[in-house]
Amino acid sequence: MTEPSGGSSDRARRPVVVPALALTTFTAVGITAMLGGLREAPEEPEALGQGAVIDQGQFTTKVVGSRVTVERARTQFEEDKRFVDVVFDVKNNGDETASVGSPPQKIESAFTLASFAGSLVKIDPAFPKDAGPNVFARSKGDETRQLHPGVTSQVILRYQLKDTDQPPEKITLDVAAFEWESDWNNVTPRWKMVATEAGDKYLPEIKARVTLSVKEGDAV
Amino acid sequence: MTATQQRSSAAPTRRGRRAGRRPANASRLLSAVAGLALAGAAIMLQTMYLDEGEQSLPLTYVGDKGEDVDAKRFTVRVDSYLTAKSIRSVTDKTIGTDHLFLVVNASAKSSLKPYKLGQPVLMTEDGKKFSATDRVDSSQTLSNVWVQPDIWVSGRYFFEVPASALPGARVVFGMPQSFIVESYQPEAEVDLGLDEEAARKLAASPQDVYSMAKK
Repeated sequence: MTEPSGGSSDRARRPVVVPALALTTFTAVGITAMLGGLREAPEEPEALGQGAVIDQGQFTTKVVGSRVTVERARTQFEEDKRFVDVVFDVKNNGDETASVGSPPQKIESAFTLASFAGSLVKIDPAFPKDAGPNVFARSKGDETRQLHPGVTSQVILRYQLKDTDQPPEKITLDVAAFEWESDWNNVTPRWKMVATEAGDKYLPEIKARVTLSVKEGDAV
Repeated sequence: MTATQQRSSAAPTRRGRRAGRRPANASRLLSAVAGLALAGAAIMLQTMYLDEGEQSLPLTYVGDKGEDVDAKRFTVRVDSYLTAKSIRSVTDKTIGTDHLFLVVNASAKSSLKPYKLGQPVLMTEDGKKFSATDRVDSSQTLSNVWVQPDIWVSGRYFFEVPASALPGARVVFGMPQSFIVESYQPEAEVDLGLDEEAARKLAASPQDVYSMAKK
């Protein structure tokens, strides 16, 4: 009796440790896989400032800066208008004329937009709704809403300030990017905003976060 | 014994059948070749299949400057074109450009129904597409004129392009964009007939001011 029981207890020790270790490893790997695997966590967007150049795929964008501009009254019945402008130099890298567009109302609807300003997915601080923005490209003192292929244009994002409003000290823009891709139902590619599925929404990937100090400007 | 005899008598008949099918082997080879050819043709046809994006592309009718280009629903003709450094609008506002204004004089008529044409696109040799400029109000262009059956109407279109876009440029006229997406819409692609030399000349001699008031 003693001999077999002693022998069995000697033998039992060895096989327990290995399966337990295997099971622990297996569970750990399983949990890791369930939590999103060993992929790298999404990187924080590049924090950029004035003068930064962002490669947005469809566009190469230089953030020139932000300033307050004043449009002087032309008649005595008019009043001076004050604006907060953000100025970009935008080159259209695509093959077709693109539109300047305007920023999305909500970040959830941004991914459907295919225009330059559509990629300015979040602007902080938020301006009131009646402040605009008015987005346009400037060409020899005139305004246009087209960005022609291969051409660099100066694009202005303009918010109007009310009489008593003070301009913000700083403006932070979250900038998304575009990629030349085809849809699930259409193999002909087009410029699409880089977005990832988050729950039941598509959120744009923030390529760069640009913080600009708003400078006091002169009259235009 | 009887069974083996039967077998041995059955065997020659089989051989005989096989021998009779010798020419059938050739036809089997032939049908295999035909099958391969058919399968090959099917695969070849498959590559010609239009995917969803291509199906919505318009049918393009091609022509040269000065020619009537019949796109079935409408006919269009590029009469002349010129370059300008600035444009004076009817409201006496002058707009300038860092590039060039290309003014295209065109005529059009339709076949059955009245249409208004859409804003044309300038296509460069390397496939870049410039929309007609929005700096000139579209009400000043041929797109604002009803194109009626059998009545030629004339008008202008304005492009703002860099000089490098001119060689080999073509202007593509189409229907206006509508809410109903229709496949196989016609478009007319007109070659402006600009080779390197002609493009350089055109770019080097722009008008200082193109006045919209003059007709």
